[in-house]
Amino acid sequence: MSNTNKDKTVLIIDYGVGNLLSITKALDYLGYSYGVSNTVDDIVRYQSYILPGVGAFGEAMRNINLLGVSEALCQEVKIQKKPILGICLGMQLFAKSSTEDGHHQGLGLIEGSVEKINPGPENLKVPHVGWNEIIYDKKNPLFKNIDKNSCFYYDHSYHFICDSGYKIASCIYGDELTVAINRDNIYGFQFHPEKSHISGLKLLRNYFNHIGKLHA
Amino acid sequence: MLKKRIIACILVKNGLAVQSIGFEKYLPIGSPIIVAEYLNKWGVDEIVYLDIDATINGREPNYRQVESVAKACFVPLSVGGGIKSINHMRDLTRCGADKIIVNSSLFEQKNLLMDAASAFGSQCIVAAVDVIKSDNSYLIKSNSGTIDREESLINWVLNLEKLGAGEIFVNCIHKDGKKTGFDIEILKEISDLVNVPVIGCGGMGSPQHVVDVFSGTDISGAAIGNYFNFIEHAPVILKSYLKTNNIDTRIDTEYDYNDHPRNMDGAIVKKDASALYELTFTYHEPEII
Repeated sequence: MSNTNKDKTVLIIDYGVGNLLSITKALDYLGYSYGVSNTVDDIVRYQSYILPGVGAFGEAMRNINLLGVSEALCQEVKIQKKPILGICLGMQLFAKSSTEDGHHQGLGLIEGSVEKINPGPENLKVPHVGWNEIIYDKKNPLFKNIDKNSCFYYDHSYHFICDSGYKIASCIYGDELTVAINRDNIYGFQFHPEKSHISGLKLLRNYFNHIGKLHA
Repeated sequence: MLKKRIIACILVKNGLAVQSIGFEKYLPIGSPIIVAEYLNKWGVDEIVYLDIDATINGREPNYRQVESVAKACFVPLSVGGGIKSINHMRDLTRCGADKIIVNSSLFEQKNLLMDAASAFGSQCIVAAVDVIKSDNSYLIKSNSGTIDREESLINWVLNLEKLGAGEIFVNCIHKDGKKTGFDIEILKEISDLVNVPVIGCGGMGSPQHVVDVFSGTDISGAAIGNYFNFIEHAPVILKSYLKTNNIDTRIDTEYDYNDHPRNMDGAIVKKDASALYELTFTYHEPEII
């Protein structure tokens, strides 16, 4: 899907782990054009990003660092204020650090850390896999037309811990987990909107409408 | 709250979706891509694609077909069959597999599961085990039921969890295609034993069987093959029945079967003449996203 007018399209950052097809397929369905790349040149050229994610935190950060793109990406996001959407592991990479298999530095775009889900007294199964309802603020335009009891698909063992000011949605799995975050032009979903059937596609549509208005 | 998962199983042999009976007899259904399309429309929570003759024919996964199936589904896709290396797994995720299912190769390659979990994260790796009950004990088979394994089931499952499996998929050969219900005894034992989600497969013949397995065990998902292939809207019919039995699943299809008459097994039966007479047709605008 190439588009001559690159600055209008979203760049999916390909860092070697993760299922890119599920994202590109969802964008195809919704009719957005996109690029898939991992070079500094493309990061500078495009005006918004999706950081996808299936995988392990350590390996993902290692790949991103090997590609040498983290500095350029942080620069474009923090200084140029280009919108970025992190999905699942992609959202977790925004944190300062993670305790997944040791201790790893993240991109540090949002004050926060990534820690293992606590099975708690109910002895919950970890990873948290499957469909769970989300709790969100009805006034948030990202959740427009999304029914109160809509379910989204999760598949994660670790979760994002941050200041409640950045939290825009949560779900109950033992504790209340932060499952969507937003700080200025930085957005993250712990669940997979691209794998959450109709609710997920609606959410992605809302996201693009929202950033189109706010960050045009 | 986390919903129980209704997982559709597409078994593929020679590139065709098949119905399987006891891992021995196979009846053709059709193109796996078309099967995935309607399952996706009918609201299943997840699709499992198992290439059941890849390993026994020494073949790699059918990447092109997986990609076509992936393009047809907007729910998670787990792929298994013929996976012997991290490279196979990486290629499958590139073709749209959200999770990787490994089974037979784990017996030969003791490090594969650990390596996979560290490369992709545990949440991406499902370890499957094929179980058969004989003389009141449970034995493990591999390679589509063609090789008997020595390992004790309980030790093997604990080992899978320890090595980093994110979910355990238990397929009961003695229940496969029998339509007599899930093997609640072994599914309960395994689910109580491990701290990762367990998926039970084999034996579903009626909606009541799914109520029974979710009431009798702590499994996270029920995997269903044959039942979904022969009844139109089968996943919706099943989920409506689970709802009336207070089992919480995701329902987001526009229609339901909540007030449809059912028999003892939860299968829907024909409405009586007066209800049919009252039947009206309404047009639903397709939802535009």
